Amino acid sequence: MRLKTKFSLFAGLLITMVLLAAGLLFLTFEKRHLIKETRENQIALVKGLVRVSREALLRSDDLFLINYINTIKEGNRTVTYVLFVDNENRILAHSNSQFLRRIIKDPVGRRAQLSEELLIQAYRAVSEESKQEIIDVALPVFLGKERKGTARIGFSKTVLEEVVRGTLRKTGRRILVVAVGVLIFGLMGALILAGTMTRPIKLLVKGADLIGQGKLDTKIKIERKDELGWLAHKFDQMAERLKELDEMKKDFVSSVTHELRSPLAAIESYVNEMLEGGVKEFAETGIDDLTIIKNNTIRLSHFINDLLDTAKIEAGRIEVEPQSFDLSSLVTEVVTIFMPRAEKEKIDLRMDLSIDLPKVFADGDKIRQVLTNLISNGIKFTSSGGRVVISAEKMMKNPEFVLVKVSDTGRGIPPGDLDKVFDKFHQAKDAREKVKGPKGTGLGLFIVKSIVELHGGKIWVESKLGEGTTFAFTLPVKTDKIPKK
Amino acid sequence: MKKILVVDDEKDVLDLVRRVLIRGGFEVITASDGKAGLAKVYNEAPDLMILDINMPGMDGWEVCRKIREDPLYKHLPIIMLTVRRTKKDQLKGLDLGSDEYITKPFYPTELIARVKTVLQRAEGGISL
Repeated sequence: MRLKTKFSLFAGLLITMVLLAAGLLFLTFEKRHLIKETRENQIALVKGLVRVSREALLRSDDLFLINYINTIKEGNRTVTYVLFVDNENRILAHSNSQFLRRIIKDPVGRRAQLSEELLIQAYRAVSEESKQEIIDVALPVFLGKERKGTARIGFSKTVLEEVVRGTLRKTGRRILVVAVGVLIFGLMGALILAGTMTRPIKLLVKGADLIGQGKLDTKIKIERKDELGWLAHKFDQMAERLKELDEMKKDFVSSVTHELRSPLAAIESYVNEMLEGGVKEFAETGIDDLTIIKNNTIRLSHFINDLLDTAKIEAGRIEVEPQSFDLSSLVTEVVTIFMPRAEKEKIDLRMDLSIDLPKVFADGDKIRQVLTNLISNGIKFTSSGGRVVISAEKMMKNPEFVLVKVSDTGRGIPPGDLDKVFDKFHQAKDAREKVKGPKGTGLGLFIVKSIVELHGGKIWVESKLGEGTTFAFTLPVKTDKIPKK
Repeated sequence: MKKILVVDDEKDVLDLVRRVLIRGGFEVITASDGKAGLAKVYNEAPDLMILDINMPGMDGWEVCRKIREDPLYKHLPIIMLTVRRTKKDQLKGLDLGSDEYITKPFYPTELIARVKTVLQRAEGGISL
């Protein structure tokens, strides 16, 4: 079932239930009110009769009373009888003249005769032409302090109920008309409301579909300050992120293609040169050319190794084989390898290793890869006359770790790029400009971070534009910090 | 002697092209990125430029466009020398006004032959 239908049905049901409850409540009150009002009318009627009876007694005018009685009887169809009796219960006036002068002896009449105040009695009349329930309202008639008789009016309960029922039915019908109107308006309102809610959802579905088809520029145009608006906003952000990732992927593919093709093109071009040049040329430049070919082969191998490492890390298949070893000698070894390059580029490459450096528990080959990468980066981004320092010491706060830092006096990383340097395929926008040597592929720092974290260590970077960059990482001294696979 | 400017960020390629062109009897100047290449066009007035496309900063497309827009240098013959070998890139190179499009890896003899052809064409006043 669609959301719109569900919502409308629910709203309809709710409105119906509320209306039903309200209607029933209203009818109950109405009924109670009607009954109370009827009783008051009955009493008023009898009081009127008492007044007229007294008047008739004073004037000794029976006709006046009889006229009044007939008026009451004819004016009100709930009235069955109207009568006035003296203290002996003899009928002095009656709506049915054939009962005149008779003496009433039934229990209702006796009780009325003896009562000094208002008396209301319900009984079933059997003596009359029809068996019906009667409500008898009686009031004694006084002249001064002297009781002169009793005024009584009998109301037919059946007719009374009929009147009440008729009135209630009329009210009920009115309530029904109003209810149907409210229900229709309510349903329309619900439909419109549901529409305003489902429309943006439909837009979202459409947008998701477009993005699914690869149209990453899709924007959901919903300007609302509610949950749906937030959702659309988040959705747009997601699409933007997806686009970024997509562009990163494209960047990566073009970067990989270039990094694979460039050394291959160099190798083949040099081979062409050597083949075309013949033996005479070979004697002059052959060895240099072979060296270039070899260097390009090495560059290609490095790059392919990086790609394979990344793939392994991605698949979670990279494994570290940790053992206790002396970090100082590893750092010295790597620095020694970089020394010629540093000297050539006039960079001051230094070590600052603390004397009490404990042995670390790590995979030596992997840590060599980390150091090589960080030092190579440091040299790459530092200009002549600058300095690259590798330091290692026991961590002050946590002696179970060793802290290693590679600091350079290079040009630094823009603040906006700091949190992304370890991302795969990411390179600071201008990192490719004015950099010595081959361009990076954006994989080195990703691999470095993965290796450090596989050892249970942490890695972070601090940098100030124009002043330099420091990469710092920790390595465990004890064994239990290696995450179990 | 004709002066040829070679712009490429790959040092190995730059060295080889220089050597090949010198052997072919040309004077050679080099630049290792787009901006430096453009500066050398303005300062040293070469007779022909060999231009790589993928370079940091200003790439070969941009350099080519800038030269073709410059009233003083727009007739400078340009040869693209690049690892980009798709038809689309070749067409783009020609659209931007390059005179020749050579893909890497290249053959040294072929490179010299093409350079000579482009120079002759330029001298003859025939332009594409």
